[in-house]
Amino acid sequence: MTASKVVRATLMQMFHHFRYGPDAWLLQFAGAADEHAFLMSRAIIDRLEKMPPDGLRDWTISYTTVLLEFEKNHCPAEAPTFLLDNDTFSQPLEREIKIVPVAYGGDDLLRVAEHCFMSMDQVVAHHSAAIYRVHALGFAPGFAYLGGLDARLHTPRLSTPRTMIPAGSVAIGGGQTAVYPLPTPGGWNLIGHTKQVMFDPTVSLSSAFFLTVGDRVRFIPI
Amino acid sequence: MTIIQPGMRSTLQDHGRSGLKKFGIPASGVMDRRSHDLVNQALGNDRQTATLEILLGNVSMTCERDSWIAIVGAGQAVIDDLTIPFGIAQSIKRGQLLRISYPTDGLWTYLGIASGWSGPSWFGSRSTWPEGSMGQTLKAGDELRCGLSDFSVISQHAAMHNDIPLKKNPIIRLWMGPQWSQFSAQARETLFTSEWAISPRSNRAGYRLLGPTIDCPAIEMISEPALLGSLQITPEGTAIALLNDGPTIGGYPKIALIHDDDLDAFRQLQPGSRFHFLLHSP
Repeated sequence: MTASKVVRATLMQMFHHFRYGPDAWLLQFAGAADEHAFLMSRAIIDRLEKMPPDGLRDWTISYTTVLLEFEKNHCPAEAPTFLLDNDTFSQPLEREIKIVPVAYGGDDLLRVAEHCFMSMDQVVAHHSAAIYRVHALGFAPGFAYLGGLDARLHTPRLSTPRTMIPAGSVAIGGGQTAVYPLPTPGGWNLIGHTKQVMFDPTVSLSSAFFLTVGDRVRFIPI
Repeated sequence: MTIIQPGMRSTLQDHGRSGLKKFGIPASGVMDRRSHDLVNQALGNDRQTATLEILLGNVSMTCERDSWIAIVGAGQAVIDDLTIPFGIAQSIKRGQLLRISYPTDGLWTYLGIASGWSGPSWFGSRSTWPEGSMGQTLKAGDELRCGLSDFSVISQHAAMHNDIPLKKNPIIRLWMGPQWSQFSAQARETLFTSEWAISPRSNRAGYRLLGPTIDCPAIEMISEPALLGSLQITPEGTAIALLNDGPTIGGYPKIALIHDDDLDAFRQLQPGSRFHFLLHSP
């Protein structure tokens, strides 16, 4: 074992791998929603698609964790950490930046501004200045979890989630930002609205989603 | 069948979609797998054949073509005022009226037809999910269609099955959830020593629970994948069970996971009916 492998093996053990009931593992592969986590998740997706573990029924990946769901009686007793061994990952190709036009001014723009000790205009300026990356799709179809939110805009989720949020709502939840693709319940702070359609169930799977993992995104105020 | 009374929420469901969670598409599918399976068994259908899932009865429809149907789940069913047993293939003739009553126990009733209901499918499943723009709930005047049925197959499969998972004051077993160890000992104890009920503010995406407040650890989590049946705690201390049409990723701490063998019974619980949790040790 080379020195770098020993270091990585030690780091791996700091991450938490959780046996999530009898049929699933929740593996942690990074400590923060950063660039390293993004590259790891791309490599893990690549492995899951090319050589899925035996009996794997479904998988879901987020910023720093991946959930592996197995058929009944197929869940391995030991965490399948070989998926996290990143020897093979290569730098992904940079993609074009996708533009999401936003009418800023949602229900919680003031709440975010007050929490962050800045004006609403400053919130808009910071939010629309960054280039985000799609780290994960989840929660609802086409809901893209974006990485790269300016640390000055981090705002806690609502203590009680709203029972219905309109489709196209642009929101901040903790250190994350996203667009709600469909009317769903949700606990994030609403700061704007876009007319860009994020999910279309009437077309094939390959074109149903405006954003996919790995995309770069920028919000433009209108 | 022509729908006269559509009920509160009647949708076609099967065992749902798999392999799509990576896009944020939940599994959806039937809330009571056992009742759905018994319907298809009675009719000799494949278990993935869609049945009509009915919430809290109050449904009536007229038959447009002679066929065979089977029903399992909550409530009672009558064909032209004659009560029919659940779990057995029943002949229904053109012009007859089928009614399913409001149940005193349980929420969901499953109606299947020989050869299965036809209808659109989305990403490999007929499970309707209106909130995800996949189909609509039934309304008055809608027509439910099916393929041609093979009577000889049905008569062989007709069998007595009506033991639906409706229990009084059930005990629902839980596994530990991913954030179990971050909750205080007192919060965990509250979960198992309290009496719980389902809130009326519940749906196929999740059931809110009525009971004591559970102290939520003050952590701003990085959103992570959620397993169906997970019990998440909101910052104000409300427990929500994530269910079939629910989120695939979430950011609230998950204290526990409902045991798969108790999920059907849990999902059949009417708002207000009481139950307890028990920590399951393998």
